[in-house]
Amino acid sequence: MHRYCSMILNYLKSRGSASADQLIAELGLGEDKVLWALEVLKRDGAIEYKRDAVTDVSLTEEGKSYIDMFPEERLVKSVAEGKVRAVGDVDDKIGLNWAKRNGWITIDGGKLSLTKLGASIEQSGRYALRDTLRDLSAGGDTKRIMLKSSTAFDSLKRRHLIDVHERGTIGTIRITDTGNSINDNVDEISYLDREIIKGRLWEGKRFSEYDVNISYGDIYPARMHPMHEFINMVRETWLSMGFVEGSGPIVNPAFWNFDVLLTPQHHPARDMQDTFFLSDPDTVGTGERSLLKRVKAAHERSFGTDWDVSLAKRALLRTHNTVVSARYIRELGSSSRAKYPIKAFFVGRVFRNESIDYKHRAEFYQSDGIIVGDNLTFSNLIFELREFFGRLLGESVAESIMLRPSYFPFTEPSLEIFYFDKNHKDYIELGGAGIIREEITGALGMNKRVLAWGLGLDRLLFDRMGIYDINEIYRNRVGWLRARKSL
Amino acid sequence: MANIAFRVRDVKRRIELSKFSRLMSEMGFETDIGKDEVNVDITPHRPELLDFDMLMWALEVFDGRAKPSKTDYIPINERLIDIEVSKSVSGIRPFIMGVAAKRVDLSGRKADYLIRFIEKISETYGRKRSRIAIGIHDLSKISGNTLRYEALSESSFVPLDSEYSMSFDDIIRRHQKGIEYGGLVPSGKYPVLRDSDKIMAFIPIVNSDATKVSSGTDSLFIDVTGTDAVGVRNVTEIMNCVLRHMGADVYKVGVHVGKRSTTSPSGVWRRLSLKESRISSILGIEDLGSTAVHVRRCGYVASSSKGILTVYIPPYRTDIIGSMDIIEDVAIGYGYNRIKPVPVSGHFVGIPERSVPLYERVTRLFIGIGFTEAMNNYLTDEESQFHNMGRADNGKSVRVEYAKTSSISILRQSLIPMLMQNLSDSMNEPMPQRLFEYGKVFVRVPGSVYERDSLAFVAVHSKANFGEAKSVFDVIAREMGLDLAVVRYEDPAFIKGRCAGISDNGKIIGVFGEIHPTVLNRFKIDEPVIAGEIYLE
Repeated sequence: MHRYCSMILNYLKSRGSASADQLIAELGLGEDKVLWALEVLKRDGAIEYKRDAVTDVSLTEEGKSYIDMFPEERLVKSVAEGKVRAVGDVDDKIGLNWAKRNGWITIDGGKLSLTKLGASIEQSGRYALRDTLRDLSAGGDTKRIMLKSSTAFDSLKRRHLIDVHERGTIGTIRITDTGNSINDNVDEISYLDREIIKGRLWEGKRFSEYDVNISYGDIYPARMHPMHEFINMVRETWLSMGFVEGSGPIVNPAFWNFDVLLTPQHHPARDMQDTFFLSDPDTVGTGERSLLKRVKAAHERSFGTDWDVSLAKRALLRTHNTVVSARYIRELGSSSRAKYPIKAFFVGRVFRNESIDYKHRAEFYQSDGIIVGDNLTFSNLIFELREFFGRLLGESVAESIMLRPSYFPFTEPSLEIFYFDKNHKDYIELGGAGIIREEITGALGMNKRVLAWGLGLDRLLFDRMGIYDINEIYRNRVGWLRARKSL
Repeated sequence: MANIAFRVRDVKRRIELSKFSRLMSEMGFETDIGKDEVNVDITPHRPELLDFDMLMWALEVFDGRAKPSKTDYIPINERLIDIEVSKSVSGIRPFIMGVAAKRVDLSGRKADYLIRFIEKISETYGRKRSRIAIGIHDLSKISGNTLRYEALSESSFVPLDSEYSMSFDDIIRRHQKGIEYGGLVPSGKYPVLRDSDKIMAFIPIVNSDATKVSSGTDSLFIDVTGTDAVGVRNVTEIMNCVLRHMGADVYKVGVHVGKRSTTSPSGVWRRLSLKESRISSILGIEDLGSTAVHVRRCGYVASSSKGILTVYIPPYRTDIIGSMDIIEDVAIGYGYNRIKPVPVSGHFVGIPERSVPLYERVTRLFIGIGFTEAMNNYLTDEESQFHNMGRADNGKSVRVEYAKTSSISILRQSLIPMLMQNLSDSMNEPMPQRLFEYGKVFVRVPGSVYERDSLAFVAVHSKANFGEAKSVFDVIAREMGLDLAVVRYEDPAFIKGRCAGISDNGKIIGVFGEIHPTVLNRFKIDEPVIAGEIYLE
């Protein structure tokens, strides 16, 4: 046994347990050596300890500036003193915003007035957020503060007034029965080594014994990311159904993302609120002039409004994978060598301009597909979708599939597809599908019928893995990746 | 998608709740039934269903309990109101139409539902009133029967629910509706609807209090204005149908622009015919049966003979443009969940994308040397990509114009910062930790964006050093058969002298080494880290 290990073991034999700090202080070995020896002893089952997480909290610059008074407290005071009467009088919009959210003031026709709650706050001067901030700044016991004022704590975190950082520490270290029974005895062998094996020095000696029931340290296999695994399952399902795989660029002009798919230029989805438009570059090329002309004509025919080419050139991050389908249809339409029917699928990331929280992400995966050919029907579309989900999710889920009529600017007829989730006792949406409108395929130079669909993958994965916070999977915390469920 | 709520009580009076949910789903609308309220999601092409009576009617027809007729929406052939349109509105908000109604029952919740419907449709279909806005007035409070629609440079009146008169400039600046919708009218060119002695409405901002509608009102004038002529006409036709389903008598309104005159509403059902063979070829349903029976469930008057289906389209169906729309309604009437799936015939072979085998090989290789795969967001910010890494912003990031989330401003150019953040979030986990990512990165090139794949790895533990990074690089290059050279390199993210550049025929396509402690401090990582990244074409 290594010298450091036996030093620690002997120390623990007399005391039963100790903290890592005690060992470091008393044995004079240095933190690195102690930590190393502890890992070896744990691996051998001679000691046990738990890992704790310690939370360090520090105030941000903004947080520090609020210790005396929060901007919303300042605002309420100004209103009470009559210094501020209307929205136009307010300089600090942050204070105004929070005072309103807290229900301390009301705004009517631009005029500000204190509510009962706001008045009582102003008089008492007691504000939970400020008290908690002061507690943390004074260096109080973080865990206790977190538990006692969890709402205030979360608020401070969300407003970026505090930085929260978790650190790992080692909890109390205890010697096990195995540890107690280890004797640095000349007659008892702890570790086999070359010398003992070649010289047959083990003859006549005993081997110290291991407790077969305890854990000797966790092994973490390196793994594929679960979304990569899931995407492979999806891809293999489509490939097994005879689909060819394709892909396309993430950055597209609005032309391919919206105009080609006959989404009107003043449709709300084209709003900054839902789409990530780029400022640099702010436009990207749209391609062939002849295609532009045909799409322009289709818009003017369908909507009776002017079509502005500068809006079509705006660069954005694709909001759906249907862009890739559209480009693929165009390639087929302009090629004379394709043999029909053709089945193709595309898996890729898409982007929506969302406020990120536990239920919403700004980027997620979709699996889109098309079938192109003569005489394809709505019942063909339904077959391929039911078949896909049957293979991917299993027969019992497939039996619960429900179709519902829907509306998309680029398909008619359209449908949405759901399955019944037994845990949530609710229908969960799998995706949308339909027959691409002839105005669109016509403009793309395609004279055959196109069946198309787009399916969301993240939701399926989360439900499968039982995940609550949909951002967890992309936070890539090593502990989470190590322990995550298999698919 | 537009969402509107009705009281459970009101719905239950017309239809049983479980049937309501089922039929709504079969028609294509999501519902959420709460204790007091029912929330419905109406798709954008059916704005008329945001009205309670129209929705109930649609359900009753779908259920076979009600039968539409082509005379349902014919207005009484008498003009109660004429509107003269001045040239002054032509550049601002040119289009106006209206309907007038008597024997209107607004008792109980009906006034509330009607006003909520008008506001909801102006917000959604009307694109926050910019495209269409609707005004509702008590007809008995209108003086005379000729109205004038014109733009004024300034005026004043008592806005709805106010006590005091306000000038229009003031309304724009300080009234709630003025603040909200003031951007729709140019300063000093305020569209106004007036009768013989007063201003009725400041369009599309707010009505006058003088023509206010209350639950005692029994006759109405409704004006529909907007910048889209077709949209204004559609909404006018819908308002006609809504009033008819409320049981009111609807009269005509004339609109006069110079020498041209039109009257509204028409209440007319358009006719469309299509071949049954085309319906079959699109839907592919073997035992389709009578297409007329199916499509009638969706509100049409329909008949079928000699292989031709003829439908009359109700005036509130402003979304029906061609035969495909009818075919969709045949399928809806038939029942989507009844449709028998039919496989596509042909011989097909699945072929994966060209880049996939490389991705899978790299993944297996890294897992084989103990690195777990990470998948990070593509969207990030300059602080992570440059500042925390100690690197200068090279100005080549693809930039997002506006994001709701403040930590998003650019697309990632490099993977290492993302992996560093992953390690930072994992500090309380046992060491060693090893992660890799193989994914897309983005860089600005003149006039466009260059999307390419990058491969990066990091390892953190007390003994992490340059040697490990070099060994990892060596194994990648060997297993992937890459002919690359290694040169001394300087990168502010790495410790000087412990950093190597990966060179492909003289061009630097990657870097690896020991991360500089300043960078570790910024990411709040307390152990040494080695990292590497290679851009793959």
